[in-house]
Amino acid sequence: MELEAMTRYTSPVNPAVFPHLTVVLLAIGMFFTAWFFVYPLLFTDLHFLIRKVLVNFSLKRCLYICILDSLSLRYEVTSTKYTRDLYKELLISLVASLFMGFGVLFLLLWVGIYV
Amino acid sequence: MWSGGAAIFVLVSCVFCASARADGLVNEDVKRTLDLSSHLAKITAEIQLANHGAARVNSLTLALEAELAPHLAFIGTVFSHVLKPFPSHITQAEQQLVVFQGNHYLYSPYPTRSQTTRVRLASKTVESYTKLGNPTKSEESIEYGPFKDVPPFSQDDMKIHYENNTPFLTISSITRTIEVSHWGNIAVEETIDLRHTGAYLKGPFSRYDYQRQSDSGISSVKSFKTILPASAQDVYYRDEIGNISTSHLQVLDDSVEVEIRPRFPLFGGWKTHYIIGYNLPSYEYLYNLGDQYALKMRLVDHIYDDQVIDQLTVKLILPEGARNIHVDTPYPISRSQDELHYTYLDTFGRPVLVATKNNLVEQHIQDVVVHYNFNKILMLQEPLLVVGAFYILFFTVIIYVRLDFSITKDPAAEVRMKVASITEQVLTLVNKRLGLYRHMDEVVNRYKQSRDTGALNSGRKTLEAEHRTLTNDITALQTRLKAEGSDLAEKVGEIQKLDSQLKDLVCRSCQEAERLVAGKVKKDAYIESDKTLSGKRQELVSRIDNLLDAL
Repeated sequence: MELEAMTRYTSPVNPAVFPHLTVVLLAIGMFFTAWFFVYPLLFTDLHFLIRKVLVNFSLKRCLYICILDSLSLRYEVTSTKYTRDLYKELLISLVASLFMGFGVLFLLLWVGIYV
Repeated sequence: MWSGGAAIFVLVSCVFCASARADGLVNEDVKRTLDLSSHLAKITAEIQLANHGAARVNSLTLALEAELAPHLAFIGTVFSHVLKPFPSHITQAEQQLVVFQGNHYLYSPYPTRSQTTRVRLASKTVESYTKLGNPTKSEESIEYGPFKDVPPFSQDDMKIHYENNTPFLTISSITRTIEVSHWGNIAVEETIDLRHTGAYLKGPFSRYDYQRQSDSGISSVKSFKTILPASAQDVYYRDEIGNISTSHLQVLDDSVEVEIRPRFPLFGGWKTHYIIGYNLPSYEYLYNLGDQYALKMRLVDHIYDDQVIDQLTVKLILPEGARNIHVDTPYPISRSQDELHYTYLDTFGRPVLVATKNNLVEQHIQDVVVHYNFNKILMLQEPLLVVGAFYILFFTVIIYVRLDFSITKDPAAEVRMKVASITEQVLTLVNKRLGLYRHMDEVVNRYKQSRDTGALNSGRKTLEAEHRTLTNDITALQTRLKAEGSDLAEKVGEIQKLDSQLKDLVCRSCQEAERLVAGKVKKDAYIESDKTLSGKRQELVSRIDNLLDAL
């Protein structure tokens, strides 16, 4: 309990690193969030709307197909689609919320709200 | 300051009684200095003691006059609020005169052989002063003495009426909040109520006179300097209206100086209220060993020179989950009940230590040490709260999308979804096929340069094989589309037809290249035929593209 025996306390994360951590974590988190939001909305009217808009803005079709292809990954419309998607959606949302959560914490610390 | 003759260990205690002590201690020589140059009365005494008794003495008793005792702020000694403004009300143009009532002699339980008293004043102007023993008056000081053989507990009223225009500021109350965060920051915020306790202002306040004449309102307070710790950052100075911009910050090597100018100058009886706050890095004040932490911070900090605080409240906010809190103070303070403070990302509240004290001066700026235990894992609770919040949001979306509130089943939407997914796949396959043709072109070009028939044949074989699989897939999808009753099936059929034509053209260009290499056809003719073939191919490709767009 003696003060002399103690060492100075340093934060677990160096405060100089807060900005970089914030940007990286939030970027990854937002990417996963966007990916997550594609799934439940896939093949709904909203999805078609977005497609029409994109195609009408003459996005290069190959590029567009490429992106959609990578994201939908052979989405099969079968009767068991709901269960298979649930696990995938839960997993993606977990990862997204993890990254977003930590990103928001470091954002708060960077701004000066030392929680 | 104190020198002992025979005393070994000096224990200081205040005594109010008037009984004589029979220790045998005698003050041989006393030099008393009363510093009345500010709004506080500081008394310093140099005493030479001698032990004329038989026994060993190991404690010394200091005595205080009964009238002055409530004003004692610090044993050194500093008295607050003893200089009374006289006259009590002055106009803006007048000087401020104050009266000090004290003792000519040292109020001591022991007899004094010889003593002198020197009084330092704030200015040269003295209205009146008591003349005991023919005192000498020099520039800014009066010297009384030497007085010989003064009995113990002797009192002789001293009254000095002189001019004192130094700032008579008093902090009527200050609340100092210190918030400790284990992420590396300590936030300090002080809410200060400031009063001018000099002579009250009589009559109006003329801003014009104040600015034009240099000696107008000479005893008023325009600004003062607050000295903050050296590593203070993000300093803010505000009140209920908002930020007060009439301030200057100067970062020096060993401190940070804030020159504070309130929104209006303070005359006698006027008061102001403001909030000043800053951040400190935690590594300068927080120490730890494993789970044990110790915070070493000043109980009260410098606000202005010769400060007087009537009432201090210190609130120390420790992180959530701090236990076994133990406080070491340099001087006695009264602790109130521990509170709980709820702020960002808190679940069960942060413990707050509350302490109060009255009548503090500059000499009370000393460190207090707070020991507590804190489990480092608890820091993780904060990010996990945010993660949980986000997860709940996503989970709600997952559930919401799976909810079906339609009263009747909408077959059209279902079919549309299915058709769309099939179209998606058709698109990918067709593009893959087009890619095949491009690949074939590359093979042909390479063949033209390398004349390697083997490579050409293998390329052609792969083309055939893959083309067959793709075409079969597309036909399968086409049948499914027809099953859904979509008109897109026809479009797919058209694409198939165009595609077969395209394939023919590709094969023909391949054959032409072979013939060129074999020498059966001349170069010019080959180039021409190649051009026509590619033209036709382009046409077909664009038509396929258009059809795909329409899907």
